[in-house]
Amino acid sequence: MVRSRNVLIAMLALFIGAGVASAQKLAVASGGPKLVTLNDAVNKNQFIWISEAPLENIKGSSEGVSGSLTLDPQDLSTLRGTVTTQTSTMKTGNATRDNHLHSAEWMDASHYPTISFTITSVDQIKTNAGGASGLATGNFTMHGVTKKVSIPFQMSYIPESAKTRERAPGDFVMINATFNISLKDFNIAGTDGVVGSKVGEQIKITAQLFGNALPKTTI
Amino acid sequence: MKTRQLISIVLFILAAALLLWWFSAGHHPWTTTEQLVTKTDPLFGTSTQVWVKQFTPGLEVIGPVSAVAILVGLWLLRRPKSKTAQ
Repeated sequence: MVRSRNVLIAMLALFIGAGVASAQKLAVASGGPKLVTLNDAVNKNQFIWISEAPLENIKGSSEGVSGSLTLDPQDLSTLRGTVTTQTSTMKTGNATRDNHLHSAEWMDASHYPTISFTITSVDQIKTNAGGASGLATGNFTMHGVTKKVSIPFQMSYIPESAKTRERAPGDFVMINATFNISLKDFNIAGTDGVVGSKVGEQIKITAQLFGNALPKTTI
Repeated sequence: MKTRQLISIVLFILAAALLLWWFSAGHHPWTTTEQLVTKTDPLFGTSTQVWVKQFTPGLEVIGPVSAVAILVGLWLLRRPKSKTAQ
């Protein structure tokens, strides 16, 4: 009786383990680990950010995005890499405001030319037909300050085809992530009295990342 | 006199039209010369944002122009001083 119960428990554990493992796999042909290079030829890499404040809402973008990620379609928890954007590419559609934004009072683009996020771990992975979602934790560096943040993301994976080859070789990977950052956390004080009235203390950022994935061995 | 009234009405309409334009364009405090518009990618089916040249007036432009139009309109509508009173 005890023996059969142990067998049942072992089978159940095996079943659950297999389920967890498959939940971390992308439904694509494996081909081993890939190096995903962010590539504007695939689609435009950018960060869209929104500041909402009582007196003014500002929508802007940050381009000049670069970076690479290592991705094993068979184990998404091993996703690692760094994404970087150039501070000087931040724009709002108003040249004067853009100059203020890049100035020492705000982003200080001359001293802190890049904003980056380095993934150190990935969990809460759920796969779906075209990709997966998960929570990427890592170091977000902006204005010379590095903070550990966790960012929920959605990933789409498009296997290489004649259509994708028109833009770039390899499979295509698209990552979409939306998160908030606090200006205070990154020592961005701005002009006196502006944060909270004309610029929101919390900035909503949406990252739209596109890359082509090639087998690591061919790089 | 009728010409002055006509000009006043035109100025008031101009001010109202400018304020309506500002409000419908998003009632932003500052003028922008470019706007982010959504573009759908045919391959991914996803939306990306691209900058397009588009003048969107801010209150710093519309406000003073409207105020001047209203003040000039009111000035034209004022009653001329009676010569017999002097």
